[in-house]
Amino acid sequence: MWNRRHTGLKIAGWTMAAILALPLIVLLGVSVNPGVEQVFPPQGFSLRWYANLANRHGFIDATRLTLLLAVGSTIVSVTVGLLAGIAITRFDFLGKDLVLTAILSPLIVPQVVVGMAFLVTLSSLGIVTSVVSLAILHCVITLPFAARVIVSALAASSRSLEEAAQSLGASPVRAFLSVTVPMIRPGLVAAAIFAFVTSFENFTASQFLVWDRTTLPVELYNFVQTESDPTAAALSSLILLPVIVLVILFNSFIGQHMFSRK
Amino acid sequence: MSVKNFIVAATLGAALALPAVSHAQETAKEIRLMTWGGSWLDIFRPVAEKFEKETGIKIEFVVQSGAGDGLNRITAQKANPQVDVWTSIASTVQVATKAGLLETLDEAQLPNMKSVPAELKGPTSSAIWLSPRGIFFRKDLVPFELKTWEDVWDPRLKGKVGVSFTLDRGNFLVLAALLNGGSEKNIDPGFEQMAKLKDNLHAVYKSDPESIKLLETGEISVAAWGILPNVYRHLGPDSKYQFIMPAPRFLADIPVSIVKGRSDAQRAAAIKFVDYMLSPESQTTMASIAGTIPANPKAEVPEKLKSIIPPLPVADVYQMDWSVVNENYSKWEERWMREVQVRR
Amino acid sequence: MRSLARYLIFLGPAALVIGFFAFTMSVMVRTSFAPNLGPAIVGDGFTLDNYGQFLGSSFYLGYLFRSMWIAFYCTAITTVLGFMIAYFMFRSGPRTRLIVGVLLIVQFFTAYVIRTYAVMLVIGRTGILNSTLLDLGIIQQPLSLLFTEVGVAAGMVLVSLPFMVFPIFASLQSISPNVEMAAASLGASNTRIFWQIVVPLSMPGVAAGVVIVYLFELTSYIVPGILGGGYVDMIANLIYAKAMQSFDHPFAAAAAVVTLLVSATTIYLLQKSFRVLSPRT
Repeated sequence: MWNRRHTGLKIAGWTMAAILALPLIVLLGVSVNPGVEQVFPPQGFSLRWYANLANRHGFIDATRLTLLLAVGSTIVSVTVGLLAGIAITRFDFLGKDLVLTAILSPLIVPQVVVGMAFLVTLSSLGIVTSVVSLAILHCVITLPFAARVIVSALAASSRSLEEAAQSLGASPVRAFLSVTVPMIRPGLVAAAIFAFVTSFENFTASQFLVWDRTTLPVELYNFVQTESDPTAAALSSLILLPVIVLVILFNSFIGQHMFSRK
Repeated sequence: MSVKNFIVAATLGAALALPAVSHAQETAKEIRLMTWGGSWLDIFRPVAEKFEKETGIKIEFVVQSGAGDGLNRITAQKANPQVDVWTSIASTVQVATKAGLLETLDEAQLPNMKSVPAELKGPTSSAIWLSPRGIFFRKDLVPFELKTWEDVWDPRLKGKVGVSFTLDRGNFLVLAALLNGGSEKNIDPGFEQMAKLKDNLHAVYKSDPESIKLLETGEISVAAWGILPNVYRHLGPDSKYQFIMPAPRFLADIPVSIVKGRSDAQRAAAIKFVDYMLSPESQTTMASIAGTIPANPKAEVPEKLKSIIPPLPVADVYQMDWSVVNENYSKWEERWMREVQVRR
Repeated sequence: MRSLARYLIFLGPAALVIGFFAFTMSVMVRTSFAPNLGPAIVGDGFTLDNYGQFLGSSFYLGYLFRSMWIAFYCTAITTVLGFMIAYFMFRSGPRTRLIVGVLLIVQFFTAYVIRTYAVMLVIGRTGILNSTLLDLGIIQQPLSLLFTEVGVAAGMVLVSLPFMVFPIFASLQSISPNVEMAAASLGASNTRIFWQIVVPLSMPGVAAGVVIVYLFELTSYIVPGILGGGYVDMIANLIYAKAMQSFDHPFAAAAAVVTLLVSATTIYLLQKSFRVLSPRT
């Protein structure tokens, strides 16, 4: 309907996309440098830094933990966020803004502070394994994102259809599940993506809690801090590939629903 | 052998055997070493592996992003420490000692420590290696070859210099003071000297690899506070990078200590490991991987290193009073942020 | 469902999570009132010195104000650009959406530390931005973008964009196509439909994005640290320096508490104003 009139938008859009792609292209370029220098454009082509990854212990372990934490905290935060979101948008009580602000509170505190405070508190509680500590941390920091996105999705969706379903005899739960949930599906997907990604790339707070196990961002950062060669760039570029593949697969598997309208 | 002699021998034998048996009960099978990550682990791994083969004690690595991060953790875990052995830097180990977080080391239990020179050890720590500090620069991007610290202030280097305040806890600031007639006890000349560097100063870095990246891209041409082990790989006869160590010289000693509060068995194992690290053989292994000078004079110094730094023993090494630094660091930090980290 | 049971089931889990968080923060608040007896030595007493030190110093407060200002204008820029991208995706065909969507998601999986270093390589003296501009003759000398506020702002916007695009896009998608068609059939122009239907209906998403991005940028530590090189330190950098370099935890805690109160108030006000803007929340 609108296609022909949007050239301005198209130019702007693709320019922005190019800008977004730029750091990634730079990373790819740096990773294929034949020498130890991390420069762009690359001074040649070599895959030696990708090969060097095989010498690096700990990255696979770190990736495994990071994925586990991300999946776990996403499930928890989307569930908890959905429940809370229903309460905020459907129930009637005073202080809704306060409740929402409270749920967002982990975002208000600088990550540095969150990390340090967690270190102190968990140590005094005797929780000394990285996995448990990080699990708790990640649930706390993903909840605000998930909740906020779900709340806005629920707010934007119309209750009238759900109420109509109820007046036709469906139970509140059924009405919600078969009417509202499909409507807010993009919001749920967005919330899940947010939560997953927040957990996956969390660094500043997590770095305080890595003891016996470590996460990928922390490992990468330590790498960048102590290495002076393109290996970190190689690893980051390597991660891109499965992500791109996964996203494309995910998109076609759920039949265009991820980025399209219902 | 007569019965009497036999009984004496047997008793002696039993007496000798007993400590060995109770010693085995007293030593833990696994201890934790907290140190820097990435390639730094490669320095300790061969030593840890050999140690495990010889004693059966396994070393588990815990990574700290910096000595400050390590101190932070030890402080937070004071009631329930999670780490046995800790490598840090001279200034931070002093803070930790004052805060009562470290075990006192007894040379009777650490024979190898006796070989370490007095200025490189303290009641709660011993250096495991010495890391040369100096100037690291791009030969192709500077109009002249730098030879002294004062050269960093040369007007021909306008906008080309990077320094660090946080690396080695204000060491560069103290150096600036020394060049201007001051010291860590009288820091004002240091800030005056930094004011003179304003035109040349383009970047203030917080980590060594950061300085290397800045040099690689040409953002700066001179990293006025360079740490040799990190730049080792960039040096060589055809390299456009150079490292110099002008006087006053700084050899940062990297201390190892044992954290207070662990069980007796773990402490016993930790003592064994620290002693092992100070043995001439381990010292040589670690120094050759790291590109550093062994703390134990009985160990060999790597060949490549000899071509880069002045001959050993290094003359004109400045002995920093870290307790003075630690006391004043917070004030210096504020002043640095106010006076130096502002754009003209 | 009984009233109390309802609240327990729906708000209970969230209360648990946030409750633990609040407990963690209480430890920090306690530290902020403790005296600093030396590096890494915290006393048991009670004092307001730390707060006095922070609030009484225009230098230290300056960090907080600077952070709020930078976060403010960076969020504004991010909102405009983010809306543009989200709207672009909204109006495009499935293939374009996929490409842009992949680009955005992939940003997330490249740890932003690494991405920030990549930005360094783009805006540095010898970076591709400068070399391109020099080659095209637009400038004669390389621009000094690194270690300046401009560089930090550019990095912040780039790193925050994905967080803004997704909620806005989700909101746009929830707009029923019927509404637009109805308006068009009644004779409304495209511009009118955009400003009077699309924009208002996307507000919940914009609100979510603004809140998330503002907080992220306000408490940002890595981006100003790496791209600012100490010249553009923000409040989180100050707190980190005080805690991890000077080992003055009580002061760092006090600064953190003040920051917390300020941002909580800002968010509360933002929430309220967005509710006013949006017709139904």
